Amino acid sequence: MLLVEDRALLDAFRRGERAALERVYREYVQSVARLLRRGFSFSSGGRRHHFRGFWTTFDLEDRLHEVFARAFSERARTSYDGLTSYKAYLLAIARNLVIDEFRQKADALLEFSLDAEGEPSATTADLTAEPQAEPLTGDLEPRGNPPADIEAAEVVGLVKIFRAQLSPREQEIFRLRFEEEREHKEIAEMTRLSPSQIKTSEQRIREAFFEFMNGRGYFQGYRRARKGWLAPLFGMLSLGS
Amino acid sequence: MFETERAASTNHDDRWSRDVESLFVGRLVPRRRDALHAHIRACSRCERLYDRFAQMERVLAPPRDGRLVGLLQEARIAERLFAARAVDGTRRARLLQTALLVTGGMVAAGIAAVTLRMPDPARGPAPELRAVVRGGPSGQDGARDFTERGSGAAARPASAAVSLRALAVRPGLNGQIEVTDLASEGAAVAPGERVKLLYTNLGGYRAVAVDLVTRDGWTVRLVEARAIERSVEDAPLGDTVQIPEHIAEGPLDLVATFSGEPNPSEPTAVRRVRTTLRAPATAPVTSPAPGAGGHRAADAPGSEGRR
Repeated sequence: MLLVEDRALLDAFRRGERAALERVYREYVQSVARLLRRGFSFSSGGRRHHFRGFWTTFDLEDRLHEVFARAFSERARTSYDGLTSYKAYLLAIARNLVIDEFRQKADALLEFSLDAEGEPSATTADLTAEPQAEPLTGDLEPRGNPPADIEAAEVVGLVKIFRAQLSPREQEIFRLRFEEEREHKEIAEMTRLSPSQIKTSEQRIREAFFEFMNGRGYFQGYRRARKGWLAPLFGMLSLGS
Repeated sequence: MFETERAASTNHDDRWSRDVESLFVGRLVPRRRDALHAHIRACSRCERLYDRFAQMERVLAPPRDGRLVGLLQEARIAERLFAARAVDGTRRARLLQTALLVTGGMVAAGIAAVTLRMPDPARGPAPELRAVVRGGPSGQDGARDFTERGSGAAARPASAAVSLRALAVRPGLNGQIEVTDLASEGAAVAPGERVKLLYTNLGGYRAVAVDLVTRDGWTVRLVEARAIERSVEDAPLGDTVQIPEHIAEGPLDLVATFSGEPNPSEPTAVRRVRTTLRAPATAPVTSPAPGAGGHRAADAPGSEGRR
């Protein structure tokens, strides 16, 4: 009940101040992501439908962005009454986004099933439950699927090898940024480096990591192009994951 | 989105793949980000590449505490969300500061150093610029090394710790000064106009030289190799430089070569700002007195333009 309890934040949010918007975004992004990922049931045209959720990372991120872009529009900000749950308000925006898309694409059935019987509708309890394994998004927890678990263990091992190759400074930044999830400013204060130096180091680590994993076949089907890094091999469309 | 709407394009531009990589490394400029997202919605190939990078990103920084959206993912969405809303106050402040400094300098000390020998009407026709494109016959090497304006990709995999910015400074309406980042979409510069060069050096580079390379392969040295500071961002690179006259309209590269990095794997780094040379404005551009300032003039006619 962030905005309901903090009136100063609510005022700043309504004025569209970036710090307030960012705080609200970070507070609710996980909840919206769970809804968009796990799906929900709805009625349209007198029939029940079930949206199964966005299965690719790109689709999930793209819709997350769209939900918050809508929620942070002036009209949406000023329409929120400040009394009811903002989370419920936001999730309604997310639902409406999906339903709007469905209505525009009424003939597309890949992500929607007609008259989905037996499919549970998303309740508040569902939305707050722990997310299930994410096979498309690199979940590393054991899933009881031996081939996948073996691969996950291998990837964990590779990350350790990669990390050991970093310089002491980069290892420190790796730990603070990727493990402890500290912001650049925090890390700068702790390491006496400038935020821009931290950002640059993080970029280097990310780039080096992608190169490292590419060298071990995790970007199968793509090769490093002369003018850049990766380019699809002509005719090979599958990543072979 | 719906699978039926996507089709793998047969003439796929590798630029999109590079942009996906730049996005995940954190170097894609905002204006290319929107174009990339629009492209991915219609390209299954790039969508798969995007998802693969996202998988690797989650391996690098797994979400904690059962969260669905990881740290880097959350930051990437936020950057896109707030880029359109909020102006980068730091950059705008820097641009304004630069504009004020340049304006003050121009007023207090007159026009800054001439970068090359300007045509002297008293001597007859303008000297013919003769240029040698570094490394090979005219146009080939330059064409190969050209990178897109504002792109996060460099001509070679060099350190991310250096960069070049070029700001066109010109009088605007109502007596205001217009400062335009030449890497921005639609930016252009005219012969005779002045450009303020800024550099960022977060690495160990000790010197930089800047050349201008035209679309037809001419290279003109704008700034001779000079010592630079380290651990600085958007530091001015001397006085403003003047875009030469008598060069072909069209794509233009400002190429900075950083050198002196102690790291043997990356002794030099090249950074480019691609912009466009347009026709001169109708108002005449006042040429500075030739020979003023410390920049080397172009070679006289009949000699090689570049070493």
